[in-house]
Amino acid sequence: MEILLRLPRAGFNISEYSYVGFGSVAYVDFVMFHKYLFIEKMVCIEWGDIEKRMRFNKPFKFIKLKLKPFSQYIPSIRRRERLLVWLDYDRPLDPEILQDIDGSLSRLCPTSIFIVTVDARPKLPEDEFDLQGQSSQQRERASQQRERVTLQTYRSWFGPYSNSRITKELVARAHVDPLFYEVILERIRQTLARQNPSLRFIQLFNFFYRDGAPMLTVGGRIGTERDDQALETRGIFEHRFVRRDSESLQISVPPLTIRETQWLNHRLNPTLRAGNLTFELEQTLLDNYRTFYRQYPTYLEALL
Amino acid sequence: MNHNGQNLVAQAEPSKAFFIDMLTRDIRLSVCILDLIDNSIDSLIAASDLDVSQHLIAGTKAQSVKAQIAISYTPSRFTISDNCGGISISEAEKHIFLLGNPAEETSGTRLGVYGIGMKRAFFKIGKSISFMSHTKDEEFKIDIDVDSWKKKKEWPFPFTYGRPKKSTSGGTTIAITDLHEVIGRQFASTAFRTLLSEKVSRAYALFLKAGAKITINGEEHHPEFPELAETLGLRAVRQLVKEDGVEVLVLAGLSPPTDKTPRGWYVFCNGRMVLDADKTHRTGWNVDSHPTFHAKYNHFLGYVYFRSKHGHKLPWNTTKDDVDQESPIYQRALAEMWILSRPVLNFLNDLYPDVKEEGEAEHVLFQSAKGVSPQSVARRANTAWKANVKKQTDDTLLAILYKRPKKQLESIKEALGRPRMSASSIGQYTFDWFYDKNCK
Repeated sequence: MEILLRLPRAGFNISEYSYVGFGSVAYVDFVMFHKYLFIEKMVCIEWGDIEKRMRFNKPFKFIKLKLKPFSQYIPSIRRRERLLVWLDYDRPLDPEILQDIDGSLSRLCPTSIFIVTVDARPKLPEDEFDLQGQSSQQRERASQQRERVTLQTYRSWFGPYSNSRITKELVARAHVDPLFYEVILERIRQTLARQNPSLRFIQLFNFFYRDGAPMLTVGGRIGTERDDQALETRGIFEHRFVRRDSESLQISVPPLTIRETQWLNHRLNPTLRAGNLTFELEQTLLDNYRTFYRQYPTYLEALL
Repeated sequence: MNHNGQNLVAQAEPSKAFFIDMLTRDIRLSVCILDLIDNSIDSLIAASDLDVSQHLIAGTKAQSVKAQIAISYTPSRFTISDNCGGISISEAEKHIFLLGNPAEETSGTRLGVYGIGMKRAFFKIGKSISFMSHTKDEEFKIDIDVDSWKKKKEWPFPFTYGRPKKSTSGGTTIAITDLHEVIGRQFASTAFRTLLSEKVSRAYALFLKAGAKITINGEEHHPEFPELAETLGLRAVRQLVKEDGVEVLVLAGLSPPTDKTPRGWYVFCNGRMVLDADKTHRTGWNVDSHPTFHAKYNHFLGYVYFRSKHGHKLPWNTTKDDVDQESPIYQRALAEMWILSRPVLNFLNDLYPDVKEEGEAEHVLFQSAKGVSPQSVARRANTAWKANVKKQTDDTLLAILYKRPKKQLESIKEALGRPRMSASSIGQYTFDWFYDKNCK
């Protein structure tokens, strides 16, 4: 949000964009983008069987609800419309997501903003390897088999997009955000090059969120070299959260109660140490809170 | 400069023998014959302004033409004859017999672009060619003895005659004798006859529909257009894109349930089919995260029509039986094809799910669909894919189908005292018995 709010400095009026995002009954991103970016044209894509809940919880009348898969929505993207698109998946990268990226970017007009979020774990869509209730020996065997299948599958899916070798060690890790980052960027690059060789992806975001399910978010603006220079001249790239390469901003925020956040907000300064708190909190987590306190979840559900 | 003070020059003239060999080496006989038909069609286009693609895109009906193209062959002779307007002496002198088209621009939405197809066909088929053409005002003849021509240094073909002559119509006849042995054998083959017939019916389907008649050894050919399946709640997608002087019309949907032929993409350039039921990387299958063509996609049917007055911009190769995959226009069209076809493929994935019952609603919709011509779909304004599938509710009836040994069924009949009970009744009885005992 902070980065997007700076874009008007470089001549890109974000409030005139339309927002296309995926659904959830909380509509958090829709509320935030309307309140802070003043976007009033919005489309919410939802393909689950929760039509009534989605309609009931829609916070603003102007949000158009499209109850269909994103692949069915892509053909209706108008080429001249400036869009802020956020493809927020709750699953790891797979060929369907790459097709969504390719298809939507093929239709987006230059100046659009494009963001993708994926689960950063090396997990196949239908994970047959249920390890619960198995002996440690069985789990070890199943785990090895899973790694083998994941390795073969990832080489087949992502080989054409990755310069680095996809190895057994890579897919055995808890998360594979560098691989997913490389594949997503290459997919974006290939699509834009096909559309117009002068177009490029001006990367602004590379976030890796580590708490709970690790999530990778990559985002940026479609534009030309001139747009890149305009953003640079206006200092957009100097923002502390901007990441223009493969080194991601690691986001890890501690789970705090409302009372704890209020206490910290009242006393937050660069010199505050964990030892000075009236409750237990590791220094690393305190430092993280100091970095991200403004982005801390601001919504809450009150029990009436 | 040599020691006599003369400038040194390295000879670089092409060798006719090498040229002919390279020209004909990798081209199939059927493609050569289609090149000759292309020339006849081009004469027809020039004489009548026929533009089948434009009518398809605009949704209008192409004017009916009365043109005949007759091909006949035996193991010792090949002839193609048409009444498509003929060629003038001036055109023959300056353009038609050049080996390669010197101008990038072609006028009208013609099929000939590179200026090599006719000559390539001559050299491929035989050694003695007789080319006769007449317009309403003049006629000419050129006889080519390939072996003699190869020996001469000069490249032009001398006219046998060229003179004024009044006629009510124009046409061209090409006769080739002294066939190459391998060509003669192919002309004797039934398999070749079938192959050529199929190619003609498909490649020129739009021209045949407009009234052109093409016969091969007296047998008339009819247009072949696989139909698209539509019904209330099921509709093919239609999208027209214009870019850089090229119009691209994409249709995508399903072939009807009764159509058992695996389909794929059909690609046309200026009305001439270039790719036929393609399921390969040429149309993007198994490329760039797209799926491989699979049996469950057999009912996928897509049409892509490229149209341009600038033939060199169209993404066909020189033999017009493939696409130039590196063409920027084709790359962008390919992206559009996959954007539009993904919802269709997703429907097919749902039609043939891993759990059979989950595809019931899709099957009900698909089975009710009937075939419609691609022309009627092309005639519309742009339309999105539609597949209104009725979602299953708890009350939806699902079929249960399984087999058991006959002996076991006989035991159940005996236990129930109902020797004439049918297998399906046994299934219902045993299901209801279990449900009442354990689920209520």
